Amino acid sequence: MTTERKALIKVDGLYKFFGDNKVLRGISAEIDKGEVVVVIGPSGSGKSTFLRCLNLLEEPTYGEVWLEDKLVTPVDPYLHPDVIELSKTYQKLAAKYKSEHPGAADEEVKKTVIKEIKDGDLLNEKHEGKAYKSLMKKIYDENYININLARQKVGMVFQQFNLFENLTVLDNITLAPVKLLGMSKADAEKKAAELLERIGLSDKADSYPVQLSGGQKQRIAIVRSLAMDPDVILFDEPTSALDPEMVGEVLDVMKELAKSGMTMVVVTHEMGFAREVGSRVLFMDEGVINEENAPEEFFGNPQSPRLKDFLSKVL
Amino acid sequence: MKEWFADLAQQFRLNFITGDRWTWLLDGFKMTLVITFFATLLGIAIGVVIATIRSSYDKNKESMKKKGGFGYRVLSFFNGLCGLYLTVIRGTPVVVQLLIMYFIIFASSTNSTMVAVISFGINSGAYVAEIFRGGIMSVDKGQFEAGRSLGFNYIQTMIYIVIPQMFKIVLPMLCNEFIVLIKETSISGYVGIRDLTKAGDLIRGRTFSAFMPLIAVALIYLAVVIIFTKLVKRLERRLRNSDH
Ligand SMILES: Nc1ncnc2c1ncn2[C@@H]1O[C@H](COP(=O)(O)OP(=O)(O)O)[C@@H](O)[C@H]1O
Ligand SMILES: [Mg+2]
Repeated sequence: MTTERKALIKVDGLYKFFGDNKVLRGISAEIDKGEVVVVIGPSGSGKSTFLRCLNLLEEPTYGEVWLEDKLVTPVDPYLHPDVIELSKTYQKLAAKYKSEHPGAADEEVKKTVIKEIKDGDLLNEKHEGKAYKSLMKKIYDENYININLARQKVGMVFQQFNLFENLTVLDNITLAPVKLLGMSKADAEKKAAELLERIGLSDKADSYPVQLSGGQKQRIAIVRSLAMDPDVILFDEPTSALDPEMVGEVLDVMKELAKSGMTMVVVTHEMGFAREVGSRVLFMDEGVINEENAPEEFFGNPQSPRLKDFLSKVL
Repeated sequence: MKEWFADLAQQFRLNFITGDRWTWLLDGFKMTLVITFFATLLGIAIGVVIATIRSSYDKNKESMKKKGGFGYRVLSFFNGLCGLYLTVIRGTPVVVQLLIMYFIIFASSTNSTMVAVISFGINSGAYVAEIFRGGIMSVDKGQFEAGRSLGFNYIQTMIYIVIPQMFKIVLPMLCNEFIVLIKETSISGYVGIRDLTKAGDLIRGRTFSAFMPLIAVALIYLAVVIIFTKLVKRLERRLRNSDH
C-alpha cells in the first residue's frame, strides 16, 4: 500500500464480537499527533473495548489498526479491494454476475461483487488461491510491526491503576525502561525521580502500591507510562475508581500532560475535562461513533437524538 | 506397676540401645528427609514447567488458533502431553508408580534412592502444577495487562510480574506439599530403601517386638509434621501481614 498515512493512530473498519455480542460494529477513526480525544458514551457501549483494541489488548474481529504508519493487526482483506479482486471467490462471483448480466460494465461488476463479498463475509482464507495469499503477505510484510514494539510507544492507564503489586513505586517506573529500552538503572532512576517530583510524590519512591491512596496510585500509573516516552497515552476511565476528593489531583496531572502536547485518548465521564482540554469529543453508542465534534460544538450544539438524550442525563 | 516399667525399660533397651539400633532409625530418618527434599525440588521444577505450558495454552489458544501455524501445533502438543501426565499420575497409586519406576523403567539402575526421588518428584509435580496454575490464575488480570501494555511479551510479563506474585500466594501450599511427601515416602521400603518406616520395621523383625519400634516411628513422623505445620502457619501469617 502506498496510501499516505499521517495519523498517529488510524482505525479502519473495526469490529469486535464477543461470541454473539457484537460490541464494536464498524469504527473508523484517526487520531493525530497532539490531539486530546475524549470518548464518552453510556456504559456498555464499547468504549473500553475500543480503547483496548488500539493496543491490541483485545484482538479485533475485523478491521485494521495502524500505529504511526505501521500495521499492528493482521491485514483485513475486506479493506483492500485489490486483494478481494484476486480471490477465487471474486472470480467465481464475477463470472456468474457477467453471465447473468451480459454487457455489464466492468466497474459495475466490480462494485456489486465486492459489495456482495463484504456484506456476506464470503472470503475464506484457505481457498482463495496463490495470488490472493501473496498480495496479503506482501501488504503484511511491508507494513507490519511487532505488537510488543508498538506497545512501547503506546502508554495505557487503567481504571484500576494496575501498579505492579510486587514492586516499589520506583521499580514500577523503571522496570520497563530498563528491561525493554536498555536504559541503565541509574539513568532510569534519575528519570523516575524527575517524574515523581513533577507529580509531587518524591517521598513515595520506596513505598509499595498497597501503601498508597487511589489518587497517588493513579498519578504513579501515569508516570509509569510516561517513563517509556510514549507517543500517545490511552486512558480508560482513569478517575472512575477514585474517591471524589482524589479525582482533582489526577485530572490536574492529565491536564498538565495535555498542555505539554502529549497525544491522549481519554475515555471518561468527566465532562468538565472534555470541555476544558479535549480537542475533539467522540460519542460512542452501541458500538459505533454516533457523533464527533470539537468540544464547543459537541456540547453546545449536539445533533443526534441519542447524544442529546445522553447529555441531558449527565450534564 | 513396677514390673510394667521394668518391662518397658527392658523393651526400650532391646529395641533401641542393643546393637545401637537407634542409629537405624536416625539413618532411616535422614533418608526420608533426603528423598522428600529432592523430590519436592523436582516436583516444583516439573510443576513450574507444566503450569506455564498449560496456562500459556489457555491464555493464548484463541489468538494462536486463528493464526494457526507451527507454534500453535507445538504448544497444543505439549499441552496434551501435560494433560496426559496429570491424568496418569493422579489416576494411579503412588506405590504402583514407584514399583513401575524401580522394576521396569529404571530396572538397570542400582541407585534406588535416585529412583525414589525421581518417582516421588514426578508424582508430586502433578499436584504442584495444579497449585501453580491456581496461583497464576489468582493473580489479578490487570497486573498481566499492565505488563503487556508497556511492551513486555508474554514470557517477560510472567517472569517479572505474575510469577513473583504467584509465589507469594502458593508458598504455604508448597510447604504443605513437602509435609505430604514426608509421609508419602514411607512406602520407599517397597523398593529396598531403608527410610524411617523401613528402619522401624527392620528393628521389629530383629527383636520380634512390634510396639516400641513402630510407635517410635509414628511419633517421629508426627513430631516432624507438627513442627513443619507450625512453621507453615507462621509463614502464612507473615505473608498475609507483610505489605508486599
Ligand atoms: N472480555 C470480554 N468478554 C466478553 N464480553 C465482553 C468482554 N469485554 C467486554 N465485553 C462486553 O462488551 C460490551 C461493552 O463493554 P465495554 O467495552 O467495557 O463498554 P464500556 O467501556 O463502554 O462500558 C459489554 O456488553 C461487555 O459485557
Ligand atoms: Mg469501560
